[in-house]
Amino acid sequence: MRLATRSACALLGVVSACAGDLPAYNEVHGLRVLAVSATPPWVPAGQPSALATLVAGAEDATYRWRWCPVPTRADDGHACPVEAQADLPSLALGEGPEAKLPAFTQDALRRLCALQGQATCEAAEVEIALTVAAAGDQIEARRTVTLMAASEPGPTNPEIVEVELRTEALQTALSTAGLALPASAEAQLRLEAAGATEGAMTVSWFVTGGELAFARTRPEPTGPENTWTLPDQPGLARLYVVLRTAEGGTTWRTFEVEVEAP
Amino acid sequence: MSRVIATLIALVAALPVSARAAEGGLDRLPTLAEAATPAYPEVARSGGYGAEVALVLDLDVRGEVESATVSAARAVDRAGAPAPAPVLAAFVTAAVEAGRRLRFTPAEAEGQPVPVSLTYTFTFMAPAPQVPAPVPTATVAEAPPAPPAGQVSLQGEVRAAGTRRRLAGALVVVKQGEDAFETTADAEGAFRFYDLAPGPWSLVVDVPGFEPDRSEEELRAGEVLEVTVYLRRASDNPYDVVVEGQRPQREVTRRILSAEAATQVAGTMGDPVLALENLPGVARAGIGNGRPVRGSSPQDTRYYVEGLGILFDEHVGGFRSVLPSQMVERVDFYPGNFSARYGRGTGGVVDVKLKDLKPDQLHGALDVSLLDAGLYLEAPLGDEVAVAVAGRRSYIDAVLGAAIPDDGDLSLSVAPRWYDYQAIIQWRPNAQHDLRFFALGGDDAMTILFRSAADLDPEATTGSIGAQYNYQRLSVQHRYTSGGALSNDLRVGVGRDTGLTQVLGRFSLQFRFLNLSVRDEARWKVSEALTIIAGLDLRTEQAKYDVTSFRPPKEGEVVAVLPPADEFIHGVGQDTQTSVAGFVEAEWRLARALTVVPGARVDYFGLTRSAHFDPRLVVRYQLLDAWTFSAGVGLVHQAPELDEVIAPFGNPAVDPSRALHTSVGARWQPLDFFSADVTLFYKRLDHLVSRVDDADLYRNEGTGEVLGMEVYLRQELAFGLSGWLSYTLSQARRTDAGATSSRPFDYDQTHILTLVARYALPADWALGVRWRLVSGRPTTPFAGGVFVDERDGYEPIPGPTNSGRLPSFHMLDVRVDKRWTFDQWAFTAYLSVSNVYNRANAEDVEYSYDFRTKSNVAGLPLLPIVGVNAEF
Repeated sequence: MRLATRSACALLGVVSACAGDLPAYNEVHGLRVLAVSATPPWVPAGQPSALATLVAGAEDATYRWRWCPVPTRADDGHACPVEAQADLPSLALGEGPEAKLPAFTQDALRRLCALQGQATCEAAEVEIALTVAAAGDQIEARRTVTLMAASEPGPTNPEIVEVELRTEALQTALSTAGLALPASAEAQLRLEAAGATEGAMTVSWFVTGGELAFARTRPEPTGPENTWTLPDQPGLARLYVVLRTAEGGTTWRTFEVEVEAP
Repeated sequence: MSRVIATLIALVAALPVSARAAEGGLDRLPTLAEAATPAYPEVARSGGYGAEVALVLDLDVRGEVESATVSAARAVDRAGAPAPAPVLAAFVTAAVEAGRRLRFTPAEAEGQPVPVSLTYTFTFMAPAPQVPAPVPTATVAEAPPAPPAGQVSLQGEVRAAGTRRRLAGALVVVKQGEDAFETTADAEGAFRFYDLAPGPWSLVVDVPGFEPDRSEEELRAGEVLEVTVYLRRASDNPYDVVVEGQRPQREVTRRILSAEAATQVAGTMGDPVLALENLPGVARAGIGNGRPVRGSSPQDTRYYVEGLGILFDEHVGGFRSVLPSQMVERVDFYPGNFSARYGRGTGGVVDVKLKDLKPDQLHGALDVSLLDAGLYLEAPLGDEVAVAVAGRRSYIDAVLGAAIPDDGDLSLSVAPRWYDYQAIIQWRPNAQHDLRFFALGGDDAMTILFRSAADLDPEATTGSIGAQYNYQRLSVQHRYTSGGALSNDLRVGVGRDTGLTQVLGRFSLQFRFLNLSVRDEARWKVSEALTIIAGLDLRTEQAKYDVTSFRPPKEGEVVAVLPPADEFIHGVGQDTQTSVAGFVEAEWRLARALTVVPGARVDYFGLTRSAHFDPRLVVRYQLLDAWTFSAGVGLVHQAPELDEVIAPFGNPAVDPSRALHTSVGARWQPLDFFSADVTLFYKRLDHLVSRVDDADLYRNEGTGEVLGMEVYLRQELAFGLSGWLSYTLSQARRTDAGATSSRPFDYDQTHILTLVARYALPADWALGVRWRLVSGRPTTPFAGGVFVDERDGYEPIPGPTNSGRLPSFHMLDVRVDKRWTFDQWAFTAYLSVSNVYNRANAEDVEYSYDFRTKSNVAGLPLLPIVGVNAEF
């Protein structure tokens, strides 16, 4: 960091804005969990929810899914403080890249609410825990799923309709793979979404190479747009785009770009 | 009988006035009321010897000399060779005889005449072979004696070059051939010679601490020659000694920083309040975060200006205090076991004493540096009224704006900037009454704009972090001294504080505080052995607030990421609380060397609707002249923070916290200009407001212990060198509600070593250094983090509270001053360099997004600041 900037940061006490050489959140190197989704995130009574995760940086990762009936605490390492309950589904949910939170009966939901100390039981949040391991590294991840007493559907996951890429020479909708771009090219990215109210939408952008203008974009002031300066060396670069809503919806798309020598 | 020790330097017939006067506990310094000129010894005449004889004068409460003893003497001939012993003895005899005839105005401490000791030096100039009898000296009495018969031939006044302040007691000698006459300037610096023969005369004027002035004057028959002699301060005079006075302390530990001494400390921009951080018992809290005192949080120390509380003592960033050094007489710092006159804070007490205004004409100072510019003016309005005004405006915003790269992730729309103003009107109609109006106000602001708010926090709605704070104070103080045993000090103040803080559109705090303070302190000197002080301390405050926040982190807690939106609470309210305290204290000299100071204070806190009794006791014992031992014990209660009490943030049922202060100390002062203090202290804290996991949110179940030792070696200005060495060894721990074991306090710093020194070099150069070595403060490490999808980020997994520690801090600061003194004004240029060897001291720890990797956040790098100061 430049001396002048260090001076300013020290004077201002703006610690987080003046961090030195720590890894950036939106640059993917090694094993990363970028998102955990539940479909649906608000689960109507008697329905299951499909669980999935966006993992980057590992082809042969192992997965272990659990759920916990009560909230966990950071100072306890987010360990689930209760054991399996006889009248609730098993806390273990599977060991694949995807899993399923089973359907809760009304009795099970009431039991859950009682465990959480709720006098009434219109809905109960449960915590989904995921452990991802690969090549000696391990990441813990959590997300919340809301179980509803009602059978009507609640908020759903949003949908990424398209991610448009535009350079000086090209304008195209990104596909999963097959696009080649010159090294160090500056690409304008724009996400088109459905199923999300724009004001509640957050887009998180991740790349394995090159540099992004923003780690996250929101409707104000940046909008669902970003700029990706591609790596200056040839090779494969990945772009991960995660779309979230304020109601707990999560979805994502992954793209590959072949970076060529200019 | 108690005796205030104040050691001053003086020459010939009077005390040099304020610039070289004693600091410390005296409200009013003794001034020469009646001069006495020693007879030049006949035995020394033939050898043409000159001499300096320093006396220690013990003055009684009327300002009369009780005893005069010699502390130093030397006599030399014109070539500088030492005089024979009989000659030196004759000079000593003459000086002692004259010293006993001197009379002074009484010194006063806290409104009462007090006995003092002072050092007073007579200088004997080598005479011409035949010297007529000296002309009687004028005095400072209001009705000076009638001049001798004859015509005034030469008259003038003696002033300090640069400040133009009158110098009393100057030795003035005129010579023409074999004829030589001498006289002494009166308290106004004026002198006269009568019936001098026309023709050329040599005029020599000398005052200790100043360079002698020699000039040739031409007298004409029938005319009166008027001259003004400006003397330049001889700052590198090896005999120049300035010692801060000490009144008998009612406390075990009281540190005094005179404004004059503090302005010369490197690394604190010449600010006497900021120089507090160099004293024992004061830990480092990081840039601009206040001062933890003896294991207490910065907010537990109370700051007063002349006894009236202020919310903040320094501007944003911590570069300047809210008071200009020109208005400050001294800063009293009590790290613990303070008098019953103070309360409501379990940490320390800082009381800033303002200068008594005594301008003889318009004086002023202009100070300009890379940070800010300030102006100070003072002037008399007739004989009884004096005024002083001051103002300061920073432009650090422009400097920082230029320093931050345009393409960076942050920009400063309003960088830290401050302005302030102060005004004093002092009316002293007679010796009994002193009325002072004091106004103080200022405004601080800072706004930082970030290019992408969402990068900082997924839930951020704006990209700015900003704060603005405005304060206004107005007070009236009336001091009454009966001239006998009674005195009274009444202070009434009103204040208004407003502020607005916003963080990324998520956190906001808007407040307005209106306050009224009334403080009355009466003193009754029952006898020579017993003085009783009693008083009332009332403060009522109306708080109006609008806040959106999560529950503020408390001591021991750390916020690594802003909590999710559902943990934010919006509260709007208005609350008026009155706190009132009554206190009484006795200073009782049981024996010549033994003094006990029992005291008691009852505090009623409106916030908790509870009253608390705080007994205090200090015992002091003086062994010989050089040793003083003291011990103290006392209780202090402190109201909880507002957010800990008001709904929905806190628990209205919490009570004040409590501290038991105990300390023992020893002071050794073998020389006037050198002292060594050692204090052992133990502080027990209980009823601390501590967070709990149930619906109460907070309960008074926290406890704490602080144990330590302070060492303070101080050299006043002597032989060109002044400064101090302070060392604090301490351990501070807390036990939270429900915890079974204690943990380190947030600001626990085992070792704090500070060396402050200033050396006066020839040609008005001065070199100041400050070096600090401080243990790193505790930190709570994170054992990695857990990815939380809804947060689009990681939540840290905290390790044991404060189980980590930052690396040690050490830093060298240097200040070089050069002063040019002209007759009517003086000019000083300085270069202040902080962190001379550019050490990257860790002020905090920054973690990576997943809390697996950490990096130290470095503090100030090498930072040179240049500035100039002009005074007249």
